[in-house]
Amino acid sequence: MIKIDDVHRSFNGTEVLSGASFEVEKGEMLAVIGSSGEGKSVLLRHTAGLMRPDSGRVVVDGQDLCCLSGRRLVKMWRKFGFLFQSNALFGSMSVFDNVAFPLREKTRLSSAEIKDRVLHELEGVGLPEARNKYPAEISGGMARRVALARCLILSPEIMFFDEPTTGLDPMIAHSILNLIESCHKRHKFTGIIVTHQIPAAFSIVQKVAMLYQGAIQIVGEPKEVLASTDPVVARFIRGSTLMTIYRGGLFTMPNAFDHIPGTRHNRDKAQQEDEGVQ
Amino acid sequence: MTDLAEKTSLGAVRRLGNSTLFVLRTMGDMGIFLAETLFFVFIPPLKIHRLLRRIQFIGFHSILLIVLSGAFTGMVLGFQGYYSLTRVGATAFLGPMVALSLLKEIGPVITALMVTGRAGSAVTAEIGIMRIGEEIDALRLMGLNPFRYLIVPVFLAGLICVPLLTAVFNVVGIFGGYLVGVKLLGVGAGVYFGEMPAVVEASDVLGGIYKSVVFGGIIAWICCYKGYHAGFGPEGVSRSTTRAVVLSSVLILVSDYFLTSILL
Repeated sequence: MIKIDDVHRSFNGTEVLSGASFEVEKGEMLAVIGSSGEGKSVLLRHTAGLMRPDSGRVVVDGQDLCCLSGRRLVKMWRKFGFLFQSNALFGSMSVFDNVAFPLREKTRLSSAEIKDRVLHELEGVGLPEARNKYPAEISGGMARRVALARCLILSPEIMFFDEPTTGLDPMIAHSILNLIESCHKRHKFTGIIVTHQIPAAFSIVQKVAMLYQGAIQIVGEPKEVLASTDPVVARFIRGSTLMTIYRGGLFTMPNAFDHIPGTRHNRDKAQQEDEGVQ
Repeated sequence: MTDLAEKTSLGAVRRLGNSTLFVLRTMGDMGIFLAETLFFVFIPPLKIHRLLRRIQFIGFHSILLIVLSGAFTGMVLGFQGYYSLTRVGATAFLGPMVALSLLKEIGPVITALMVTGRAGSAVTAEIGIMRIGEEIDALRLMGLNPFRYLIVPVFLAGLICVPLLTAVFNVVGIFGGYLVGVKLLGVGAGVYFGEMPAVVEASDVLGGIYKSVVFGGIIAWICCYKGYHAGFGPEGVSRSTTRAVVLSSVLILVSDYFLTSILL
């Protein structure tokens, strides 16, 4: 469905992507992880065709986005939904109008049909009562849900999530991830999610890719990545999970910390086992 | 020391080269932006609702400002004209002098500068905020053309509103001159208006309209371009807004000189 092949991109002489490659199958969700400033969002924008690489290929549905121009690219974009880090809601429109906007512009549905679909989608993200409010009047978590509803209103085949939990407290972040998971089950889209939410995000994806120094360091199932002995991957995972534990996040992915020696989780577990033996 | 001198001179040449390239690249980008805007002006569908909203914002909401500035500009022209014409004993020509000054030069230029300050800056800031808020990317990913939705309505509204506002400015300005010249300084009302049809020609009025259409296009083009290419963060938007106002104002005055040369 999506194939990123040896993508290179530089900005002002600094190479941000240096041969990134991975594949996502139809209906699959892939998480892209990596340190801040590694170029995850840049990679996501290349995958969505919003940026063009210096070299390499971005193939979606058998078509190289780098070679598409004008109408063909716009036609491809109609299959996409993109949840931006900033939500990208139109500030001058109410929540209802924001979600209705793609339907009004891209379909010939009647006002009644549009109203039904918008209310249904807002119910899907748990916000039917906020429909008359403006983006400035709702919280960050609510705005993220509205943005998700707007993305899903045209039933995209491919969804891109650019750090959907950034700036949200752990509980809201967790609920947003759950919402993405339920939407994935409902709409059956193919998805790529750029996230720092480790290991919580691992429970909603089938594959994880780690971006390191412009290239994909590892790609595999969440358990494989968590169990990786690659020092770069292990160090990053350990750092992320320790931070999650430190923050008091109670994301209980089964056996998420088992592969990470030295965490409080493992120390407690070992202590409990010792006590059990005694 | 020689190395240092070479390095310094080379550095200066390099900086000059980079600056030249930057200016050329920006001019090219601006040219492409204008060409793309003109292309979508003539390719339907036109977003009528958005155009009407822009006309309301750029035109209707600027009327009070234009009436105020037109009135006081006309009054100043009345004073200055009266005292200058008194020296040569030609106060009878106060009306035509005020009218010609406003219709041919002052009306189009001051109206354009006022619209730049009030509406142009707001358009740049609005589009710039949409750029940094990823709203323009969101439009593109919905399969919608940002030029059709954001730029073309502003461009057409500029072309329509600036000439109309200039007409309002001119009419109010002539009455401002009338208030000072006739009511305050004692020039006869018949003299003030009576000489106007004899001196003011249709080409004078048309010249002012042509100028204001060009100025409207310049304001919309520069302000939209600067907003569309705003830098990162609030600082980038504020910088773009300042540059849009400065560049629009300068281009209005420069193009005024060339248009005057052509139209005279």
